[in-house]
Amino acid sequence: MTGKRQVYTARAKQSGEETKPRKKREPQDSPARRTRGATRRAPEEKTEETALKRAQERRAAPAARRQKREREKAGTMARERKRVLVRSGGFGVMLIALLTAVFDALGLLLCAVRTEGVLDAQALTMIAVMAPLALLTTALLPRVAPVDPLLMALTNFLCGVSVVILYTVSPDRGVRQMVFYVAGLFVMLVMALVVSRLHRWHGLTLLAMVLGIGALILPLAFGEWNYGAKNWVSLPLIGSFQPSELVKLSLLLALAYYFGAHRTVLQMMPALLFAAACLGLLMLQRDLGTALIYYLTTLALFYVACGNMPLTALGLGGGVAAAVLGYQMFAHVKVRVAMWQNPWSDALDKGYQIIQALLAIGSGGLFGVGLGQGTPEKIPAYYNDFIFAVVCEQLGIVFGICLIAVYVLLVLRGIEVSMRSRRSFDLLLGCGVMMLLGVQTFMIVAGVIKMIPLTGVTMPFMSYGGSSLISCMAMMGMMHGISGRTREEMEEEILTARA
Amino acid sequence: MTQAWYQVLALLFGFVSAAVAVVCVLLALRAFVGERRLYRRVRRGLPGSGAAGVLRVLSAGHKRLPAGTEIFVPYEGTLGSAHSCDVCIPYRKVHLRSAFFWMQRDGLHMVALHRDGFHVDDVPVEPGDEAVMGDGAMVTVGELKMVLRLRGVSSASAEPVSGPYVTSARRSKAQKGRGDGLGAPGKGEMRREKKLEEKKRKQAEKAQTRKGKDSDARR
Repeated sequence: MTGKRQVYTARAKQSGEETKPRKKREPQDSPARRTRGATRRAPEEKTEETALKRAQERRAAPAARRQKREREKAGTMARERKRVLVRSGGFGVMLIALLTAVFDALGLLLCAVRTEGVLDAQALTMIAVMAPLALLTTALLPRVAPVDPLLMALTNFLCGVSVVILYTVSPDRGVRQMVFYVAGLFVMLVMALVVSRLHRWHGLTLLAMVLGIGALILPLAFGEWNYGAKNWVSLPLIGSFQPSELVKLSLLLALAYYFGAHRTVLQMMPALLFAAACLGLLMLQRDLGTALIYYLTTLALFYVACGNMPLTALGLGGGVAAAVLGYQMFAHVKVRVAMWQNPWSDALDKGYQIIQALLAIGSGGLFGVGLGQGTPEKIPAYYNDFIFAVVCEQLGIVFGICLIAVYVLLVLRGIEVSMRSRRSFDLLLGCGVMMLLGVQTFMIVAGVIKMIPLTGVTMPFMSYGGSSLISCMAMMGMMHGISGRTREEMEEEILTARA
Repeated sequence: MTQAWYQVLALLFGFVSAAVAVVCVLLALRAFVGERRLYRRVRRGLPGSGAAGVLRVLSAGHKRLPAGTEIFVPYEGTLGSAHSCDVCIPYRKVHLRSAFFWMQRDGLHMVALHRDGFHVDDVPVEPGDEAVMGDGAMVTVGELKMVLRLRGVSSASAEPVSGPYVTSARRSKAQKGRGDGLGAPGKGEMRREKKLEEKKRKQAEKAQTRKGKDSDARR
């Protein structure tokens, strides 16, 4: 070894390179070696350290992942909370409003060019009113007032269809329906504000009950017999109207107030007595369809409020007994049941209405005979009770089924909104409104398609008539008010959670 | 426009309207379901959502509600030992429907319906009386002592407020013991209660005398 080293140094000297002085080899246990050993470790130690590091990383990774997940979750939650509090409807609701506006505009435009060589200016004016109303009430109204966008969009759709169909079959009625619709929107807004702002209902409920009884007595004193019932009143300034349509609001208020605040049957008595008085007066007017709606709504709300099954069953039994009694007492009820069983037995007189309605629905087929086509005027009360048959004839059964689906969605949405409320009064009022509208729609649609005997009630939002449309819009106003209140409560909850 | 053209357009409108209606229904369904899901998710993420506050049990002396238990208080409802009550306190000494309550801006209003040892801040509340409780109020029902923790209400108002459902006339009737239609005891019920108490007292006396006689005999 020493000989070789000497040779190398000698070669380096010859080439003129400077060689580094070689360090002396230290012994195994020298202090320098020991200190170096601290930095340069043995391979076994190295693997231990990396294993430790890896274990630490492994331990830290789930925590970091968990933290990241929690951060993401918190972010999503914050975004969702913001989305819940957004007042305007989403893209879908806006699209419904746009489609409603397009439907109204196209339908009325078709009516405007219907007569050869003449452009109907009235129809064009109606386009200028209906299409912007459908858009603005859904897009802007929820931002400034307690209005639920989806409920508003669905209501606008139904009212738009009503105005277009009525204009095709009877232009005067179409124009008047549009005026009632605008007035109804105003009433709806007022009701929404009242319901969302008012907290004490005692005085207003009592007033509504007294006025309701008074309004139901009016037709008995000053009314005229119409289609076997005495339920219309003609007043000098207001014109003719149906008081039982407006008393629906009083009934709903009374039921919600007394069923919500007091839960024993004794404490519910004022509302039950009021409902019984209304039913009695309606029986005297022989307006049995409306009486049935009142009765079913009261019974359903009674069950919702107290959940007392035996008493509800007792009430149902009482209703059945009253129906049998009514069948025995009133001749026109017997006729309606007989015509429901077999309208062809008197096809030219008593069964004419139902037969014409069935023929109209059948002739419409899947997609209808076309707007303004067909012979709707052959059906008696085509603009009122039988508007569903006219819709099916002109626009087809597919459209008719969609219309029923819209009603179902309206009722489901209303019940969903009212279920969110903290107060039993709001819950019962919302449920009552939706049950009343649902029962009424079922009764008239089922009557028109001969599923149940014809009851002679209006189709909500669709049938021609100021009292019916305004009362329905007022009920929707109540619903919007409840929706506004639940939204405020949600805001409060979110703010409390943040605090 | 000629009649033929109008008929063609009207027929086309039937197809268009059916398409519009179908799209509207689908959009409405989507919006309805989506909004419902979103609302439920948000509700689930909010602690104690839908409750006006909690009643925290301080001392109970019973296994069912140990100290520290929190009972959620809704914005209105009933308090009692019945399972149907919104705030259920399953003790024998508590009446089935002991009180009913509702939340207002000034605090939780509670009307006692029975004499089952209902105290607010150690002040007895008689049947028909209305107590207004703020955050931190001590509520005693039977042997159960609880503290009320309200959300969003900081101070208690001491004055009784005539609520929307309880009038002062009803309250005074209840105080006189006539019964107010709210479930407060009437004269008959009070008499029955007195008779029961007398009966119990007599039975206790009899038992004591028997015990005394027995001990004398043993001696």
